[in-house]
Amino acid sequence: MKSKKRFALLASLVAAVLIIPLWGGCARASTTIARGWSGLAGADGQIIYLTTTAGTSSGFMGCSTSDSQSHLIVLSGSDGGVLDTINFQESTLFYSTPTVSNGYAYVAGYNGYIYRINLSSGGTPQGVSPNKSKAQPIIGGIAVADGRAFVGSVDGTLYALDAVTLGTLWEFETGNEIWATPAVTGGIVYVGSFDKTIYALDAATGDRLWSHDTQGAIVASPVVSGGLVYVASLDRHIYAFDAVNGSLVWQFPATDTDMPSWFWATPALVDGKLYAPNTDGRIYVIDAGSGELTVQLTTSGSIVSDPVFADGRVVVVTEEGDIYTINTASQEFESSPYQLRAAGEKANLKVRAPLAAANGTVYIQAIDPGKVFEYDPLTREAWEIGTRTSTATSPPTSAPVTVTVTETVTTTG
Amino acid sequence: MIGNIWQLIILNPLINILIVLAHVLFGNFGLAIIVITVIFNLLLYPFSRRQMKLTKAQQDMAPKLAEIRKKYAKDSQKLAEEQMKLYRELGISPIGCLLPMLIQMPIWFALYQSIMRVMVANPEGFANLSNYLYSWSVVYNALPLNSHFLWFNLATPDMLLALLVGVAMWLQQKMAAPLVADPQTQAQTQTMQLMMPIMFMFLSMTFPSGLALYWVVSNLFRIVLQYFYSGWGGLATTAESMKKLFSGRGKTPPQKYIKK
Repeated sequence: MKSKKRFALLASLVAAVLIIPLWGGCARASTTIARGWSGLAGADGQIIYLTTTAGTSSGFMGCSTSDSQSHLIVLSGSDGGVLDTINFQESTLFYSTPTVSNGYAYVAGYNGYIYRINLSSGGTPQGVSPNKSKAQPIIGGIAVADGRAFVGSVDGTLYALDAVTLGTLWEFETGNEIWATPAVTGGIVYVGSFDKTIYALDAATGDRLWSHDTQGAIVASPVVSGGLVYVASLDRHIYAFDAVNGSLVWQFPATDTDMPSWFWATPALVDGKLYAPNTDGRIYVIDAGSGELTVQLTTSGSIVSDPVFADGRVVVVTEEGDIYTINTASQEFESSPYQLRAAGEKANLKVRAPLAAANGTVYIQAIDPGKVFEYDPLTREAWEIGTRTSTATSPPTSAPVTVTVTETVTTTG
Repeated sequence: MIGNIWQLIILNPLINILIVLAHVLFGNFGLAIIVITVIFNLLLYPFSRRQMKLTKAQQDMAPKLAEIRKKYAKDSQKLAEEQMKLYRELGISPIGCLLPMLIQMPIWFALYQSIMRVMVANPEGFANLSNYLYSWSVVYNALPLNSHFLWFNLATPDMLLALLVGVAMWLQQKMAAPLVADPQTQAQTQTMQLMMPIMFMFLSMTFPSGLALYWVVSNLFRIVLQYFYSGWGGLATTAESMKKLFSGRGKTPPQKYIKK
C-alpha cells in the first residue's frame, strides 16, 4: 500500500516535471509571440526581404517546434517572381530591414549576428557577432557608408564595422538599448537610443560630436536633410536639431490626444514636409523648416511602419493593414483606404515592417500571415507579391476623405 | 467585448499604476512589483483571514469527520448526511471555503497580466505596450523601464528565483495545511503540497522573473500572515518528523507548536 502511494507520488512528480515546462513555455509564448518585422529593400531591379518560416511539424500540446528556417528572398522588381532564395544556416528572427550596398545585402539578426551576403553568388551566409563576449539581439538595421557598416545592439553599443570583413573598427556605448537604425551623412553617424538621447558621432573615429536628450526612448531612425536632423521620439515629440552642432531648432508636440501616442515610425521627408505617423492613428504633416503643423490626417488605427514616398504620393499603412495614399501636393488622402483585411486576409493581420518603394510600386510585408504585398499608389490596388491578381473586393473610390486641419502648434527654437 | 471591458477597467489602470510606481521608486520596476504585491495582499487581507479561519475550522473538525467516516463507512448516503450535519453545526460551508479564493483570483490574474505586459520579453511586447498606456507624460517619460533588479533581469527567467518560488510556496502550504487524520487524504494532501510548488517553480523557469518575484513576495507575505494566525502549523510537524527520522526515533507528530 505504502509503496503504491510512493509510486503514485513519484509518477505525479515525473509527469509534472515533463509536462509543466512545456505548458509553461506555450503559455508564455501565447502572451507575446515574437515574429520579427523586417522590411523590404530594393536595388538593381530586384527586391529583397527576410523571412523566417515556421517548421512543418507541430509540437506537443500545440507548441510549435523550433525547426524554423530563415531565408533571404530575392524577387524580380518587374514581375515579383522569386529569383533566388538564400537559406541561413541558423534560424533567427529579423526586425531589421536589409541594406544593399555594392551588390551585397547587409543583414542584422535578432540572434545578434550580422551577415554580408553576395546577391550574385548567394551561398550560405556566415554570421559575425559584433559583441565578442556574447551575441546580443539586434533590432535596428545596418547603415553602410564609405566602407563602414554601422549597427546598434540591445547591449547599448553602436558598432562601426569594416564593410568587407565585418571586423570592428570602433564602438560607442550609450546608456540603454539601441533599436534604431543609424543614419550616416557627411562623415557623421546619427543614432537614437533607449536612453532617450540622440547621438552624433564622427563616422571615422566614433568620437562624440554632440548629443541631445529627449524625454522618451528613440526607436525611429533619424532623418538628416538640409542641415537638420529630425528625430521622432516615444515622448510624443518630433525634434529638429542642427546637424553640425546639435542645437535644438524646433520641437513639435503631439500631446493633444488621449489616445496612446508614440512616434515609433521614421517620418518621411517630402518637399519640405515631414509625414510623421503616430500610434494614435494620426499622420502629422509638419513643415520641416519651422516645425509648424500643416495638417493632421486621421487614419483607422495605430501606425508603426515607416511611410514611403512613391509616384508623388506618401503611402502609410496602419498596423491592421489599411493602406492610405496621401497626395503630397494637397496633403490630403487620395481615397478611402485600401483594406488588406477586407481583401480576404486574416483578421489578425499585422503590418509593422517599414514600407519600401521601387519603380513606383510600394512593398508591404505583413507579419501575419507572413505575406508580401505590392501596392500601386496610382490605381490604389494591392496584390500578393508575384500574383498580380487584384485582391480588392470593391474598386477603390476616388472621393477624397475629409482632412482635419488643426491649429498651428507653437514651436520652440 | 468582455476582453475590452477587462482591459479598460482593470488592466489599463493597473499597468499605468505599475509604471508610475516604478518611476516614483527610482525607476526600479522590481521595487514596484514588491510594493504593489504587498498593497494587494493588504487589500485582500479580509478574504485571506477568512480563508485561514475556515482552514482552521476544518482542521478542528478533522477528528470528528474521521470518526463519522469510520462509523458510516458502509452507508455512503448516511455518511454524506452526517458530514453535512457536522458542517452545519460548526457553521462551515464547503462552498464558502472557495469563495475567498474566487474573489482573489481575478485580482491575481490582473496583476499577473499587467506584469507580463509591462516586463516585455521581445520587441512585439514593447510595441503592444503602447495600447495600454494613458496619455500621462510621466508614463511616457518612465519608459523603457529598467529590467535589472538585484541579481536578475526581470524580463527573463531566473533559476534561483524560480527555486525561491518553489521553496516559499512549499513553506506557505505546509503552514496552512489542515491536519488530516485519514491516511489516504493525508497522502493526497502531501502530494498536492509538493505538486503545486514544483509546478510554479517550473513555470517560473519559463516566465519573466518579474512574475516569479511577485510569486515569491506573495508567498512571503502569506507566510508572515499565517504565522501570526496559526503559528508554524504543519511545518512544525514536518520539522519534528524530519528530526525524528534522522535521529531514528518515532514518527508521532507533535501538536505543541501549533497556535490555538
